[in-house]
Amino acid sequence: MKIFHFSDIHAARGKKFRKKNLLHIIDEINSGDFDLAVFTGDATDEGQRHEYEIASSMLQKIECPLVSIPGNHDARSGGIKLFEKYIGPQNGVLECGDAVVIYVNSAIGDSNDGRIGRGKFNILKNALNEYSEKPIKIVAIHHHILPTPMSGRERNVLANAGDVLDLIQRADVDLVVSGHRHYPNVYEVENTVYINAGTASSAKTRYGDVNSYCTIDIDENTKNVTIKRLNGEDTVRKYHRKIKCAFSDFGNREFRAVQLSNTYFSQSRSFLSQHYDEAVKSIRRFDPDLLIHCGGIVKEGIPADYNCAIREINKLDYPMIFTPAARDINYLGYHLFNQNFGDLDQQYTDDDILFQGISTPQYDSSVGVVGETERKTLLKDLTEADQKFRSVFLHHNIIPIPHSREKGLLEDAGDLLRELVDEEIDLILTGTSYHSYATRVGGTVIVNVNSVSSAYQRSRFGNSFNLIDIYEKAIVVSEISSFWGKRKLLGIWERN
Amino acid sequence: MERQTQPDKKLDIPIRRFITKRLIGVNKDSTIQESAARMVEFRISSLGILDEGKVIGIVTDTDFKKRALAEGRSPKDSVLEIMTPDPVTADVSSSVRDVLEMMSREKIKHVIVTDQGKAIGVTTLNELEDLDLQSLETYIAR
Repeated sequence: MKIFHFSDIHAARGKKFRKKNLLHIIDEINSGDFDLAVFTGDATDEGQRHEYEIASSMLQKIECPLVSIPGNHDARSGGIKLFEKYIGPQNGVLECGDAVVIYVNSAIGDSNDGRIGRGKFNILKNALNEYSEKPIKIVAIHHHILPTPMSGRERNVLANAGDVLDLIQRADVDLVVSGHRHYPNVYEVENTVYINAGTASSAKTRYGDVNSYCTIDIDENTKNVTIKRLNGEDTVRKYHRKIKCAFSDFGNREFRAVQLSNTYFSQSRSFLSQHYDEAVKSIRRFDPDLLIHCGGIVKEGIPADYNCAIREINKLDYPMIFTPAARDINYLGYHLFNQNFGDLDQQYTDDDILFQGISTPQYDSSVGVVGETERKTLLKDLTEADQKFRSVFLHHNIIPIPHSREKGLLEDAGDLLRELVDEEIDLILTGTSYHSYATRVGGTVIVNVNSVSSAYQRSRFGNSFNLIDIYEKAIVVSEISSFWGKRKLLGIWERN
Repeated sequence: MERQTQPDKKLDIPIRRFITKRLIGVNKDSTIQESAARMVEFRISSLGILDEGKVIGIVTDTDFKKRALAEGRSPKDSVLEIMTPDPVTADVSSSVRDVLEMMSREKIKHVIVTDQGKAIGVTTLNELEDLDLQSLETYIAR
């Protein structure tokens, strides 16, 4: 099946709308034998009636079946009602041969942010249940779910992107198409391909890029995605359903790490000391080679909490590396972390393995960032170790986490994720948002850990830490409940 | 107006929505001891017996008790001696209701989950009991 995906046409009067480029793209659609075209939002620039009239007259020229969804610009100036009048329904389902397209509006009136509210989340969930047996399942949402590169401050993912990501992964969706960021980008998460189309005809491109669209050849087992830029430059990516599910041959276990975060050491009731003590017993039973603390060591960066932290950490007689959270460096924490736990960017390495920490919190701010200069240094260090198993650990999230909102995401998550996936880093460990999650983006396994002993956590499984076993042929990640020691498998992935 | 009992919609959810799509197994050449060691290592209650990636059988905690210890087998014996061949399978699109009915009908607690005929995981009665966890996501997703 052949699909044409384009986005963000931004119809308007004046030069910022490149009508000629859109007409060229429509010609491409009509002259190719496409089974389906998907337009992922921002038909207009300001949601104005005259803009809708232009957009509608253009989209009507498309001869194959078309799915259109609104974007944030279409919801400006109360324009969302006009979308229904001029373009079509905001949410729905279209069956097309072997495929089903489930599309939902993620725009919030007069805001650039996106959200799939309760009603639309249910539309998506119920449709994914109903069409569970369809060979090809496609979801269309304007706002991106995974952070996109070249987009600066990463704050416009869907507010509940973590829940949507988890739903999509669990439902084994084949393809997710989005727009919004005006920069084309493709990721494969397990067996699902996420495509962000660039802008088809807006003058507002990123990093001097040109207008672009995507074509997708898809069947049950293969997805060939081509990003087609209007300067004739094509980028082709091919994906096959390849995730191995049944594992019998693991080889020897080479390394065992325990990942933990948000211990919240303090005299306050938010530090659950009994949970921590039980977790310590479990950790001793697992006898790990290394403990990696992904931040949130203390409740506040004050001397009393750091004194408590030293007492508690001494119960664990294992090599340990740390990366701070904002709470660890607040108040006097900036000095106390350094004094008691060492450098901000810590490292564990031997002949075969590298765990490289990168500090993400900012003083007196909840916003996490790595920074362009620091990213360059990190990439250089990682590239030099390319013969080893390479892992990066940080506090803030690099992908959205279920049961959390976007505030845990790193400000430059889009650039860092792209760089680490392109560098084929084996493992990324993060430690905020108070809920465990593990998945693979490209060849990189990304694991988030819940809080081990803070009263503030969001999982029905309870407080927990992660056990990361690196075998010769596989990476096995399990979640261990702090209190009960119950083990839950988060995933197994073949080594690269 | 008299209230009627409503069918539980959760039971209509396809099992693909909540299983971890991974299956831990051993090769068919493994011994009873090696198989038990793997179950202990991963703290799991069932294990697939694989022949070139294809599931040919399943062993559970109970099999070690009933078919190995109680029958006096050697730990060096082949795991094939104690496995249940041709285990009951359910397609990943099957509903929770179908799988529960299957478990009840066959008197089993573990069902191998398949996708396009290939084994991709195992679902247990314990996991099905965790279904309520999923109902929260809709409520939280505002």
